[in-house]
Amino acid sequence: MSASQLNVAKPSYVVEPGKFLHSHPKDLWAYRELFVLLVKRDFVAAYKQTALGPFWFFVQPFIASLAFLVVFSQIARLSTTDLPPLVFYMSGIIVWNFFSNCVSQVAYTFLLNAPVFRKIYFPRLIMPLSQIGTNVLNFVPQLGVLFLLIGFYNLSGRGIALSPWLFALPLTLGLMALLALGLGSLIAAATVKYRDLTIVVGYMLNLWMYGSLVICPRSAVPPNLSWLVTLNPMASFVECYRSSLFGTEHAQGGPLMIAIAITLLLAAVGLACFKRAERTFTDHI
Amino acid sequence: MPVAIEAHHISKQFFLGERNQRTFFEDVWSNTVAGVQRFLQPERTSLAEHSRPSFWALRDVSFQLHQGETLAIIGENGAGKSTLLKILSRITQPTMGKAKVFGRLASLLEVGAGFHPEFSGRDNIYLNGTMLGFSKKEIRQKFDEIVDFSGLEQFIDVPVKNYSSGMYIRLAFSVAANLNPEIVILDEVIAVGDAAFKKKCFERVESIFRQGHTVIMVNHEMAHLRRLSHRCLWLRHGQVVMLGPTNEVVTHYEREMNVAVDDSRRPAEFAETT
Repeated sequence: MSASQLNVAKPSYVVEPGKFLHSHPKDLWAYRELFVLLVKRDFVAAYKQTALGPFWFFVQPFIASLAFLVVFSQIARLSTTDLPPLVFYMSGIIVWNFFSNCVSQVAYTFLLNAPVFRKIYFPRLIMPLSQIGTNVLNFVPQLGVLFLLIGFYNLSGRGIALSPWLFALPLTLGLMALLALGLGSLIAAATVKYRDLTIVVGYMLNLWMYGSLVICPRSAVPPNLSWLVTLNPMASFVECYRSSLFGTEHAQGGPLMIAIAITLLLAAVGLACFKRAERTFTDHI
Repeated sequence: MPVAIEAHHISKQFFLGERNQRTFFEDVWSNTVAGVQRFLQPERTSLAEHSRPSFWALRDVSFQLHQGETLAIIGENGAGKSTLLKILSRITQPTMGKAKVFGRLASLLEVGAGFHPEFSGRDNIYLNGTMLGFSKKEIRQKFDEIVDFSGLEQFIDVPVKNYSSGMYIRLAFSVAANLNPEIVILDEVIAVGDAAFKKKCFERVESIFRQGHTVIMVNHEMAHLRRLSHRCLWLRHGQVVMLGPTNEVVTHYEREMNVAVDDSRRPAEFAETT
């Protein structure tokens, strides 16, 4: 497009106070190629100059699952439904990692990208979206490893049936990603003012996991604490995710509705705060 | 001639002092106190809020730039030049006023900000180009030109973190200079790289002018401005002092600067004459 071909009547963009000009869906679409390149960049960069490279996909969930196996299955004797504990824990860990990485990386949007944001304009929302994209890419091979593990169990005679609801898996992942985007952008907007919030987020995510049915099914939660699990959207999503994989748990309608409502609310509030923050954050940080 | 930039009464206010330096609990406390005060004595607190220390980095700046025209922005440090550019390039929003921009706008030097150290020059050209709003196709068409211009053919697949700072800037400049954004910001652009590359940059800048791009020049020598720029915007403390033909504005500006220099050199004499 040369300068002379530009449509005169319509400006490419308008700057105005108070106008939500950043991250408009049309803008986001125009920058889709940047999104793809950023996903690729983060995916590749994470494994450059590391000893194990892409093997981290497999090592980390295995080690964590083994630790859970010892602590929660052998010592605490928590039920893992009909699944072998290793499969139960690993399926939980990889999806929790997906969620928690999404939240913490989105929360760092403004802190990490401040130098670029100060120099070049592009829809800021591209950054958190690309972080989520990268995490989806990280999750897929881990899911592959889980299927390998299941295959191994099946070969050794311990049959694990996959659920016919497998097609619902992307849907539950999408809900988790939306929750992570909403929560992460809310925190990102707040980090413009309080920079240490990201540390709190780390702690919070660690604690949150124990209430999210990652280490035990809903049936193992004592009745006096069940309200906590009901109000926790991630508990419902993890349950949904596992039931769409194996069918040994069943997603509960009520809690799922609550979880979806919370997710939509958080996404709306988080994105609104993000938009507010991106307008003038370069004046503050 | 079609318009490239239309700026109407742009103002930008910055708040100074305590904002953003307090902790969460201090904020909660002071907001609670302020809330109680507002409840008890509504008139007094609204006054206190308005007296928050602030200053206007830009005040009521209006100008129009046509396509193919060159605008020079001059003024001392703190005159609001970079704030104006940040507003025009959507880095920050104005407090008041409005600007319409027709076409893509890029600064030739600040492009390197988006480089990722782990990635090769090649990947960074694409990454940066898309950040500037160009499609991959457009970048692919210009790719050879960019590499050729930077003189980094040998190193184009080496991670950028291994580049010297000179190589880094050369690549950054080449990306922006060869992708041909409709509106170019030239920010002290002549001072890049070694002598040979400087010459190349200068030629490139000249050809940008010849090709009829819209250009905004900041922080240049007055001699360059007189030769290259049609019009000139002179800012002081965020306000427009003069807007008009470059020769005229620069002459006034230099006269005033010289007075200021003389002023500081011979304060006693100056005091006598006034």
